Amino acid sequence: MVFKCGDKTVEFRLPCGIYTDYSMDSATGKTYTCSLLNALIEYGRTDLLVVTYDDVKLIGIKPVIEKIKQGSYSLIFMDRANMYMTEELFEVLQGSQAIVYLDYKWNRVNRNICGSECYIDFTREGLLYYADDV
Amino acid sequence: MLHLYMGEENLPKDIPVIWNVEAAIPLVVFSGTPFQREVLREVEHGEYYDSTRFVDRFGGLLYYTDMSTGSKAVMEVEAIKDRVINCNECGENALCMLSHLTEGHVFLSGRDIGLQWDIDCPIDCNGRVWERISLLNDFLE
Repeated sequence: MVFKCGDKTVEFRLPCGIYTDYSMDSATGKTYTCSLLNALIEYGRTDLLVVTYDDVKLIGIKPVIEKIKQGSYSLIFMDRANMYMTEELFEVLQGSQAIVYLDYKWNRVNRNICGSECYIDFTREGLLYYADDV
Repeated sequence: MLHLYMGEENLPKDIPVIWNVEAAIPLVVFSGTPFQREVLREVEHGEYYDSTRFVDRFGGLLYYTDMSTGSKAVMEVEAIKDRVINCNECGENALCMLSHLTEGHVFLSGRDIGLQWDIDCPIDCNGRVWERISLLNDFLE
């Protein structure tokens, strides 16, 4: 998956799976990834799903789960995922054939909401590969 | 003085709390104060552009409502001094920005969180005043 963001060209080179932010810092999840996703959407990709906490507050988590079950997404981005993650949602994500990026401030809030921390592959650095020459 | 409340039981009864910092960001006038510019530089790796936008780390323009939750929270601490701001979702770099402030109300839920930032002025934590945050850290540890 290759797309442009500003003057950058970015390529996703990861296999499907669940990835999250290892950093303890702010602005490594949302802004960083939203910038890329904005570009992706402008790029015309329709196999993307962006879920925000506001969405979940508005429609609940069940419709989100159904959407993931029924859809065929290449990339799922879940902003502030710690605020609405459930075991059921996590299982559905695990079963999807997508790169799932959780913006998950695991270090501060609800770190045990899914029962343990080991379910997440903490490899954010591998998520985005910058290739200016692509 | 900067007031820090750790644990919900220590929240003041007479000061409202902003729990959802995302929803409260319209209360902040994005005018490019020195503090806002510093947060954009240090946390977002970007810079102030105008009253609604900033330049992100890729050089693109984003609305200030697209900032990270951590940036929003600390900007609210600066701008909304009569409320307690929930800073639970702040990463360490956003919390460090609080060292630039000498006023405001900050809520953090966890007592086990080491405060990596320092500040030269006194800080009130749960009603007890510390001359430096490093002294508070020593106490927390």
